Amino acid sequence: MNNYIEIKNLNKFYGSKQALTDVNLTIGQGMFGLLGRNGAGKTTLMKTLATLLQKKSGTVNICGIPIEEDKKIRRIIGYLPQEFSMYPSMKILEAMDYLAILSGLGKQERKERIEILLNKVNLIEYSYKKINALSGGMKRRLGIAQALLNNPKVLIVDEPTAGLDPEERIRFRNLLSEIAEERIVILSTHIVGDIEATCENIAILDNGKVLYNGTVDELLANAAGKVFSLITDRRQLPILKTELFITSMHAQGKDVYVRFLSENVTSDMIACEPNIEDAYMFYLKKNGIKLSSLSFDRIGGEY
Amino acid sequence: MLFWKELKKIVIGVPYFLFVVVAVFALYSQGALDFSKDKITKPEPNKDYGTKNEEIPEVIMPAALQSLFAEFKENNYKTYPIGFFKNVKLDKDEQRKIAEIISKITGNDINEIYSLQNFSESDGDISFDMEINTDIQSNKNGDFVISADKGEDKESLRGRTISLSVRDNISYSEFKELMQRADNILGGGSEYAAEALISYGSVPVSYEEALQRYQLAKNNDKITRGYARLFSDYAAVMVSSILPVFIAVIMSMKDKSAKMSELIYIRKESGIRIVSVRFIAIITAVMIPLIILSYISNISVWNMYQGIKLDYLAPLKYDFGWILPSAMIVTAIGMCLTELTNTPIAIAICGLWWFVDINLGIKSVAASCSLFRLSPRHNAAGNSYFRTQDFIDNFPRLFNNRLFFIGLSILFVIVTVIIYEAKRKGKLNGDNKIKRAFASIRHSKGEFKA
Repeated sequence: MNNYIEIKNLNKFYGSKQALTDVNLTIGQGMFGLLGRNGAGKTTLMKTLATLLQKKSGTVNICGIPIEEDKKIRRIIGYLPQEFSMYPSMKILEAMDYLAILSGLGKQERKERIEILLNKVNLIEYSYKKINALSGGMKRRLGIAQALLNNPKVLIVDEPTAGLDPEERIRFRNLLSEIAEERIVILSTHIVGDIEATCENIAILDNGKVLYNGTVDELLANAAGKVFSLITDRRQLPILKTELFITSMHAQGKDVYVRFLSENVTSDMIACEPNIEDAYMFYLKKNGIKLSSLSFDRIGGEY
Repeated sequence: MLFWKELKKIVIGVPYFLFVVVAVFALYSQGALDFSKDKITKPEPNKDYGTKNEEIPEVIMPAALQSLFAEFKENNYKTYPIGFFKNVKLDKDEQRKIAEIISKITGNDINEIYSLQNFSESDGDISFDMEINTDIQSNKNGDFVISADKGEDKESLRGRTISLSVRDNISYSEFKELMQRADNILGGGSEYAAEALISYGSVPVSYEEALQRYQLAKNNDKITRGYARLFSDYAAVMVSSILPVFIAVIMSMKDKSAKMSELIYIRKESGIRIVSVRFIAIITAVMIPLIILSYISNISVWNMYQGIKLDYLAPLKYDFGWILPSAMIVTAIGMCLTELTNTPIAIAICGLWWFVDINLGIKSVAASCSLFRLSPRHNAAGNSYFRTQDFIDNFPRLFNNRLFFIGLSILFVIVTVIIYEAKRKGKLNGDNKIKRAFASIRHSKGEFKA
């Protein structure tokens, strides 16, 4: 049994609509980030890997096991769905025990494993708390714990940080990085910061196609010399919006700090070190993706 | 272990609590939890032992004729086509056909039949009372007599008496055929149908027969089996044939509403084990209170029969043999349709089936446990000594009925497993289509209102 996921020419349709088009990826041990806008096909790809959807064509091998052998695949994968919840009236311990039974764990094994996992995600002291009384962050951590019940070789995590406050998000990223030391972890997200903090290898998916497959450093290198900033009067902002591809901006007194992508340099522009958000946006723009739907109406804050 | 988890999931919920409350209330309201006032005793000579229905042509023919004529006269026929009461009024041609049938049965001229029909319509001050012992009377020969009110002043009718009787030379088979024809004219479902004519064969139970019934109840039913049967009749009709579908639907929808479906789908456990364990857990949860209630009901009579050998396992035998298959089939249908559609449509379907089934009532012992009866009926209490012989005679029918529903339940569970496995692999999107259909109906209703 090898230790990587191999996806070749994967195609998936919903009726006549193609959701994945000739996806080719090789995913090795550690954290792998799957980046893309909403509707890019990330969840479809994740669900296909989790045997929850059937592919139309192509081959997928998970640690040497063809995806068609779903029973075998289920033994080696853990999955945290995008909309994670559990029976609301169950206590954490009960819910974990229930899923552990379904994972085929024996009584003693269940007891030990659940204790280890709840310790790992810092929920052991809440073992008898009901699911409906948990905060969003606690629920996500419980989600990771349940996905690790069968000690999977592959962990599939779909949009895990959406809706979490910054502190919980950082905590969650660290937890994933820790878990990824000994297994393959596929993290799907549209939040670029999650990828930057945790992944070395990433793929960018758009409209069901893989736009980019490589390291974060390579992606950043692509955007080198293309990211600039300037400080301008906020009354100039509407004009700048039409002329520049703005990636972020925030107010500075009466002025506005604007960060943007540009192929041309003028004297008032200050060259910036690209971050992964810039690089991601640059890559989408470079590949002709229409970004008109992206909105930067607010001054300040993060997109 | 999975079984206990599933069972716990069911019994700690509000729906299950309501199930138990409704079950207790339904059975209590029918007196099925305490039969202590329904004691059977050894019959004594020269008492009234009630009546029974038997296929005795001499009894059935005049009684059925009387009923048909009474309904013909008023052009107001009672039928139960699919178990529901329907008042039938015939047109002129159809009434004529009925008049011909009466004419053929009685030998009276058809005009005479018509004149009797028009009797009260044309002469408002002359009336016929259809009750026996008033104006229409049965005589000793089994004929019945219609007479005008002698107190009236209509010269042409004064003192006139017309006797309507089944003609001597008609065979029972010919009579049945004519009555069946009447049933067909009425659209079916009347008591003139060949198999329903027995309801006119009401005869008194003799002392010897009452004694024999008592002996059967004592020796064959060991007393307690009769009470267990009576409890089962109520429990199947009011509880196990309908209420389990609510539990099945709610539990089957729980994964979806709690967003647990995918978390369970990706586990190692097979669909066949998950579905079958859930099915067994629901059945167990449904049967536990019914078993307890059946014993509460049965124990209420134990101390009334000291010195008689009772069957203390009778409630358990009837719980499993009689009540369980009904619970199984509605649970299986509930799980299957909910898995298929992700909607509670099974409640409507099982509810309709149950409603039709209970309205079929108890036309005859045989019909009460025919193959497709969801709730077999044998509502025979202590005053009829549980009609043990009828039960023995019809036991093969009941056995086939119960076995059929157990088999059908297993089939539905297998289909549920297939659906579950298909959904698990993302193969089946039928639920979305059906849900979309429901959504569009709701949407169009909303537009209509707007």
